[in-house]
Amino acid sequence: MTQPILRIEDLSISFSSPDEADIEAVRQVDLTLTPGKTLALVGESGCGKSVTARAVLRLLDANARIPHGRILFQPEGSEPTDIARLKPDSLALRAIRGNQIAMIFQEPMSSLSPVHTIGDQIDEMVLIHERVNRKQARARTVALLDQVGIPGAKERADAYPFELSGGLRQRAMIAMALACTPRLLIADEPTTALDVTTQAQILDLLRQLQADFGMAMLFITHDLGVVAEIADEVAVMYLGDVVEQGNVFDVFRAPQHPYTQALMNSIPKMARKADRVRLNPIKGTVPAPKDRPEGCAFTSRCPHAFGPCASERPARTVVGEGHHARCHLLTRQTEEALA
Amino acid sequence: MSTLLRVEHVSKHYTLSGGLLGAERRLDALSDINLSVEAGETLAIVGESGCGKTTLGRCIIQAQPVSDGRVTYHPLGGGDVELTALNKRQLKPWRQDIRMIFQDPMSSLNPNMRVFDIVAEPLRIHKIAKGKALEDKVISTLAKVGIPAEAVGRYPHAFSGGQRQRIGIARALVLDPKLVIADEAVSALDVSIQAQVLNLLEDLKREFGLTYIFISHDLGVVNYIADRVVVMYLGHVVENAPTEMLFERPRHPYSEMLLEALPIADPLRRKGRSTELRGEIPYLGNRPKGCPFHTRCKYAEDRCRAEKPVLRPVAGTAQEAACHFAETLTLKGAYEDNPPQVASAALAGAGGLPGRAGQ
Repeated sequence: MTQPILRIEDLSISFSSPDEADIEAVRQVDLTLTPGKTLALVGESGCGKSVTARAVLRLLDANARIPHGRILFQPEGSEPTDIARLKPDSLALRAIRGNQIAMIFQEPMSSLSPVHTIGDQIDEMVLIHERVNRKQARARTVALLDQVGIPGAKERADAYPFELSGGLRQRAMIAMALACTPRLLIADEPTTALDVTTQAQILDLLRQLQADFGMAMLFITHDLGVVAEIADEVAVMYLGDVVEQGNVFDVFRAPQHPYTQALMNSIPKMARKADRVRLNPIKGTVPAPKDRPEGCAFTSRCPHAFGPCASERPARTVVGEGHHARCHLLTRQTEEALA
Repeated sequence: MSTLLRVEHVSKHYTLSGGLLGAERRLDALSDINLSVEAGETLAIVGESGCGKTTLGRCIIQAQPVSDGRVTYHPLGGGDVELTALNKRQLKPWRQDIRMIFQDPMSSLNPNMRVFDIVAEPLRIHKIAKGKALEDKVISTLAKVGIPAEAVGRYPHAFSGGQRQRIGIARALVLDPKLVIADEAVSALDVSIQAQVLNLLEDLKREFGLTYIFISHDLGVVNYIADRVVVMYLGHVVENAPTEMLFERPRHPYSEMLLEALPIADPLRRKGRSTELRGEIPYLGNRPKGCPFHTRCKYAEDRCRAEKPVLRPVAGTAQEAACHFAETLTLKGAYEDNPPQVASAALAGAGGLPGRAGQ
């Protein structure tokens, strides 16, 4: 088996505020990424999926801390680096950020500089990380823009972001992320702001580029349709905890955590009228992190909650090959089977 | 079923100033829209951004004047009211019958008003109730959408997105409307909350005998909730069909493209399709000649570039499409070919697992 390129172990992230107690936005995240594979991190707003992604590049706000946990980055043929222990502005991290790990964001209009041409912005990436002159950098930029399917790449390099459509802007953003052929690409809701036909094109592009570059991808989304479309592996987050991770086929066929099951039952199936089933939504709403139960975060909304759920943190239980979930029902079953 | 609302030859254009010396330009947001809404149905209007679906909704409630054409309302008791011919004062009584729910529950509620007043405001404006009667009506309407009576004194910021959307729904329903236009009413919500609101909309429809115009870009939700679907592209209606027929076999290539692009939450149905989807929506200001879709259509022929197709019934179906080749093209739908029970049975089985263990 290939060695994982990124391992996140027992990560927590908390935010301090001058007039409130600290908020632990991410409580317990374990994730494993393999080269050439896509891991989709899925969850509803506020579950901590974007914060987790930003933590990998240490792009968190100044009031964020990482109280415990490790983010081990290990490209092939080198020693692992614990990103969680590096300083956000250290040279070691800056050599990784943008170069070995790159990121694309949800809204390209607000993450590209409006006063520089897209060509200049991509050139800058190349110039910072590699020993090339301006001319070589621009040649690389044009080749990249061409590769991500921007027509008339040479001329478009001189365009400002506002002159491009949403789809083209996102392509330019992807070109920038790929400028230094990263080993790991983090995509934070890259298609959420796009129309469906454009979204499908961008997903196709990412899939194809991943095959060409052989990189690992961490794909953040709230859309289970997009997960089914692009992911090899899926991790489900709820209120700061990863509750389940596994192969995308296993998780969709037999979700093991009640939250994953409930999420799947909340989306309308593409079915004919005769086979239509009424949606079965999750009761209530996501509590604030400060009201999170000490045990399993999903306790307050879980239809199966029982004795230990509210107070005891469930253990990470293996439920299949490479398929884990954290739920007391799973351990209780094994205990009953043993008894 | 009787027709509740008819939209005939409605066009809407905006004029853009061309700057100091440039000529003025005309932007056609809607071109010759024809459709009717039957009492009791849920009609979905779908399309990508800029296709005119929101403009059409706004033209129906007369939030914007139409440039051309007529919108006629047929109240259930009989009679015709040509909404587009009325002035503001004459329109007012009909505004009770046709109400709107907006997309963004954060920006569509006045942050300075208490929830009670937000929902009571329409009753006060239309002088329908006051005093105790008003209070009862507001409280009971809020209870119907799941907002408890003790929360009515709070301001919108104290509620979550899903609750705010419920308040927006209560504000629409408090006047006992006949037709509700929901403009992307669930798009801004998380999936679990979206499911709650979809179920709520369904229950309210049954309880009050409502008719919905459901404007959305999400075809998964549309397949679930709508009886009939109108597909729009660049200000045109390109297809109008009963939901199941559209998803079974669309008759317009753009409908096929939308269905093709729709991600389905089942990795076994993953699509390898890179060649199928082409191009981007052209800018509304330079709409192609001939069929508006021909620049992206893989079936386009010379006729499509020259001659603009009109929306017409497709022979032998209950569908209408604006395509020269609607009868002959065999377009791909979105349903699985194998019976879909297999998938749902597998899921139900999996869902049952911890349930058994919990006992």
